[in-house]
Amino acid sequence: MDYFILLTVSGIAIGVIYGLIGMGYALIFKATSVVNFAHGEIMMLISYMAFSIASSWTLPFWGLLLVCVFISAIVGLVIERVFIRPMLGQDVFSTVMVTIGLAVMIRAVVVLIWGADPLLLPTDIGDSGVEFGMVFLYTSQLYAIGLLAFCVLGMWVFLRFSRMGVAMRATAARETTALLMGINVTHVYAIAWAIAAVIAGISGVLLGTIYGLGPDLWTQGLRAFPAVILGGLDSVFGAAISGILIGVLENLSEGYIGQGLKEISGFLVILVVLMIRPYGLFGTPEIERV
Amino acid sequence: MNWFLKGTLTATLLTMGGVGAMAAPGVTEDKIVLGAVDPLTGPPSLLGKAHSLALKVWQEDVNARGGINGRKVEIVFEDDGYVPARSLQSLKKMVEVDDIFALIGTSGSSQLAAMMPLIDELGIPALNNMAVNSHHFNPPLETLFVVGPTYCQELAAGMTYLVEELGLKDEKYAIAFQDDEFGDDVRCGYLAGVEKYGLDNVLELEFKRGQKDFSAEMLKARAAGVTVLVSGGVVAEHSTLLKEAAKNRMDITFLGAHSAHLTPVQALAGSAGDGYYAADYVPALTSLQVPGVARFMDLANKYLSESEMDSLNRYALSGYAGAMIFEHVMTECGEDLTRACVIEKMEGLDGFETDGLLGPVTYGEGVRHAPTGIMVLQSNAEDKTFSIVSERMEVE
Repeated sequence: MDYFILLTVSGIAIGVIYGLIGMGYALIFKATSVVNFAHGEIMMLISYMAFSIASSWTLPFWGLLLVCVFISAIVGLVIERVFIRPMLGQDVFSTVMVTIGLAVMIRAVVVLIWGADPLLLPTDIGDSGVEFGMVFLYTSQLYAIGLLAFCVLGMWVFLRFSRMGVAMRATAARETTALLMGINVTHVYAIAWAIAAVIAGISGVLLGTIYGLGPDLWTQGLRAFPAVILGGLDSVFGAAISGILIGVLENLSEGYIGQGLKEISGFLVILVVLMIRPYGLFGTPEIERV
Repeated sequence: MNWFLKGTLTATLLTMGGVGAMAAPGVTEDKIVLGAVDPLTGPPSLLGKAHSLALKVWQEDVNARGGINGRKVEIVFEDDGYVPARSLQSLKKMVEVDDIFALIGTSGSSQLAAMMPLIDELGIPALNNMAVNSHHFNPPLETLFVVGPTYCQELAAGMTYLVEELGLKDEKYAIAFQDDEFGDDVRCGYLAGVEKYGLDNVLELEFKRGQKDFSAEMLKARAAGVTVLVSGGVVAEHSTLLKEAAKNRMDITFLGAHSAHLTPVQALAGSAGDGYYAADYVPALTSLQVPGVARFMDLANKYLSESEMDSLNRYALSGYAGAMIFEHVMTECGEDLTRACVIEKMEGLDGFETDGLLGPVTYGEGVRHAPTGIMVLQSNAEDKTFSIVSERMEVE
């Protein structure tokens, strides 16, 4: 039983990171119908920016995170304005191709500026942690759990009660109608990219603190992708929950079966779930009148 | 070699007045052009940058000493980005455009494998001192020489140290290895040790390249009671395994191949990176008691900038040792420097010393691999250094 609990808790610890990353994917898709293949790279870029900030100024973890949230929002807005907005009116496939190009560009820029050596993101929480009986969790992992909860709650409040959130949902439901109702759709898109970048920034800082930085950090974006599919591409809340599910599932499959099942368990679940619910666990069913 | 390249080379030979009167490619009255293919961009540039900087240091130094038999050395560097197709492309460019005499940098294992057919067809003397794999010398190519042990030999020697020097015979052993050629080679050395000493191999964990989270793997190791863990990771994987072991309060002895002999591994592991072992065939950059290291660091301080000094690591020492070997054989050839002579002199090397950077280097007829001796180093996390803790061991 102890072994099961330990595997589950450590699965939750990595799952919340998948969940955070997944939320960013889902938010962009919900608002713009675009799968942002550069999301992992944006997360990596911000984590390297965090490294430069943390190396230049002595900031406590929360101070660093706040600065990174601000920078992430700017990065998101700039990317939307420079790369995505010119694609408005084009088909979704073209925009997706732009995000793929953007991803490759960010990977090259990161190596060009920061080099290829693995780096440690220096924060004041370092390797400190808390022991709960037999379970030990790094402070950064505890923060990750708290931050996921905060982001989920924040997104719910934002989408449910704020004027911009309602506009975003309206745009997601039917863009043309939203335009006719006077919603500034380009503004909605920009805000969606900014928020997704902020969530990516938070996950980047957490990943950098827990595992260190490397030019392959973007691959964590791919690892989180099953969570988005499982939760439903347009469900921000679903991505968060599914991230945790995938993390736990990966750990249990490795712990009890092994043989590399950890790598494919998430995708196996997706296959099964999609056969039963093609729109994911929490996604919106698309009904077409034919 | 394609017909076009053959034709071009033949035409060049005829234009120059026949084979007998022709100088070797890349060799003129006052210059020898050498080539080096290194990964200078992308994640593996950690290896390539250090290697190329060492070659630059050697180039500056040898030219300051008057060159080789009066000829200055010029090294052409090509970045292959650690992509085998680009390695081959780089070599073709160096042959056709730069007219290199020999190849002194051969990038990674698969990258060299991609270049081997061309090296063989053109008879280019080449020395691999960066990533050793048994495919590089088994079967041997006439002109390709390999220095340094395979990862399999490295780990086998490391296991010998754990058992014979540290007395860790009755422990529970496990290995975590990457699911590629590199991981397989590390596992080969681990299994050799297990078999040789009849060790208790309780767990073998295979992981995907680029994996970040090892929590399940280390919990599995803890449940199996593992006390000695051999790591077949590249760089960051060593650190994550060490941190997970510390997090799970596991008191383990940790051994890695020479890829663990890098300061980024220590930096990422933090305090968990104290005391782990790495098997390697070159000493640490801080082992200034070794004459070869002391001389290299003096020269590096003289010829490299501060930021370039920061990029040095153990690959710089293996690169510099390779350059020493090449300098020796080219000097031995005298003024009549030809590829045939270099190959003959290389083949004749018998216990060649590199001032402690490598063990004695010996080749022979049909022998193109000089594994040299292996030593074990221990990490000191606090000052980010490594100490040599074993004598140089013979390769089995």
